[in-house]
Amino acid sequence: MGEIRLTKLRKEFKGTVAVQAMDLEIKESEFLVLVGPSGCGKTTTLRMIAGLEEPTSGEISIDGRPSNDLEPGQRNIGMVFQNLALFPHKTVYENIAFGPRMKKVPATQSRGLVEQVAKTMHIGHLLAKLPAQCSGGEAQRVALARTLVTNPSAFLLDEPLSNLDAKLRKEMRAEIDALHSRLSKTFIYVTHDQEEAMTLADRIVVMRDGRIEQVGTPMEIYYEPVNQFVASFFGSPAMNLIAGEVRRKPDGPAFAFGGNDVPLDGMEEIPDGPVTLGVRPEAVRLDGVVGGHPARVTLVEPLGKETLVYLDYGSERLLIAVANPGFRVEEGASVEFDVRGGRLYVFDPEGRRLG
Amino acid sequence: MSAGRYVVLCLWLVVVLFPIFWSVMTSFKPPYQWFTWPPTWFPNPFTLNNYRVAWFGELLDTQYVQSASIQTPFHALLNSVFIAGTSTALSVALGMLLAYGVSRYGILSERTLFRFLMLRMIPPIVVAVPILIYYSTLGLLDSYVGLITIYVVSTLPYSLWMTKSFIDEIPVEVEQAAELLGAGRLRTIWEVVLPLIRSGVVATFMFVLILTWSEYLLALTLSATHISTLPVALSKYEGATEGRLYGWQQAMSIGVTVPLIVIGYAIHRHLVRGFSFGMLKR
Repeated sequence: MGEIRLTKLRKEFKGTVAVQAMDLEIKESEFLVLVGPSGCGKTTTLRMIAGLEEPTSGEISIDGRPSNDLEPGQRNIGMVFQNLALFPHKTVYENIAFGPRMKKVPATQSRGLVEQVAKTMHIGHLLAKLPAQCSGGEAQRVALARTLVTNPSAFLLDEPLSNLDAKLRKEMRAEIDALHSRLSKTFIYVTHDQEEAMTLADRIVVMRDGRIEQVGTPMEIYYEPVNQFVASFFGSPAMNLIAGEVRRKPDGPAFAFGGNDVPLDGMEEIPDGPVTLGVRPEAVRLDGVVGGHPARVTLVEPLGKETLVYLDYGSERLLIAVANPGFRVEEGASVEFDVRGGRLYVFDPEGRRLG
Repeated sequence: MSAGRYVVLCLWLVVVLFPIFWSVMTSFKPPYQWFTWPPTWFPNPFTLNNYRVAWFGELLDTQYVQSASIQTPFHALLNSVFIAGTSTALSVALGMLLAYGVSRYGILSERTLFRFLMLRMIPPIVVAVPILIYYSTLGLLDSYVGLITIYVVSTLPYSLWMTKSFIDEIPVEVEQAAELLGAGRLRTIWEVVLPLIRSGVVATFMFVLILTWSEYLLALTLSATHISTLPVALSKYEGATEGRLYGWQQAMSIGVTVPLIVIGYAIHRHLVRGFSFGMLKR
């Protein structure tokens, strides 16, 4: 239950393409996260799966059944909306009992269901209240409970945490994660927050301009991004991108920028030419560097467990390094940094990964 | 609020309230005080005779004027209740259905909607005579159907625009959530949309009711004796044969106004919420 397959799914809105030829297989009880910048088509995809948006072409099949023509209520899918969409004039109890009532569940049985779900979501004390009387986190739980009670085969969540403050968001994130493990149902989760995607997902689908850029586990997405877009979208602080070019040296290709060479070990087949080098901030070394690239420290941000050092390595070109908390440096100081030995990514001018 | 604003508002209040004050006072004056100069501000002696004449037809024989065209207004009252009530209910119901279609399905373009509203900009006197001609051909003159039809058509733009503004405020996701939980379209409208726009619908109903209840020109043009409404009956107290029967007229006009005030007060909670948009924003 909860297996969803999208085949050549396409959606146009008055001439603009929101989703183009999307192929995706969502496995049973998988936690899949659709992530990408706003306008990338992730919410449209979700809404097509729910049946709230009609695909221009392509096919949606749920549990092996072609579902394009099924009404949203017939798909056995639960959805939590970004604005939660609770019924403001109904009590929490009536909100949760709405689904069972529509499915003609007998009243006594429905009462039992509602109370049970309310207990698991820790909202038993809210049943008589109106949604407006609930806090943000409570309303969130009510919205989850309302879909939970109908026992759908898949849950669709459209940026459900975006209206919460940072602390509550982390709490709810952990709770959604726990809920998924407990229910072992399919979850499809839309977010623009890469951290949320990384922490929650079994698999991440990175989207841009209505296309899938990459599908993979969080680790694959982070360590093996297929292009510059995916590489720079994931990671906080974001991956450093250094413009330069590849030049053939006697001992293999090297990345040259500002008079410095960075050997590109294990990337023998990379052709010469202009490229962008990607280096994660944690791969930029500052401590005990000899013969590195000179730079000026523009900002130091001690975060406790680590320290972010912002470097200017010439004509306003910025770089961020993650240093040990013990690393001491003054703003304005001249330092040397080195990226040799770290994990390096090379992208061609179109952003495609070369190595 | 500054003192200056208070002064201006108080002056405006006087301007607005004076005709009502004058109307109430006149309705309690004996005939010889209706026209006196300098004016008699307060009725002396205080009399209920005007009401007895205007509403019950009593004392008519003893008065110095008697006219065949003056009848007790109960027939007109029934006409008004029926015509204003039916046309308002129809107008709001149709307007609401249209508004739902416009808001959720985009059935009419923005342009069409504005054209629709423009209908209201046409002075009624311009259309009164053409409609009179149409109606006389169609046999709709002096008929309930005729007057109700024209009232529904002429107030529909208001009903549509007002209810649309309330429906627009409901996040469409609330309806979609209901749909995903298995509710059909009608069920969703009944259980989710209607309760949420209730105040707005009540406010719209009141607004349209005031229009239809007090409409005079079309009622006068398109009716004869059969369906004449209260505003038409009111005008019968001023004329070549009757003279100016101000006291009786005011006694009746108070009776015409009071129901609207009573209804307005009974639903004032809804009116405040309905007229202050944004009731659903969290």
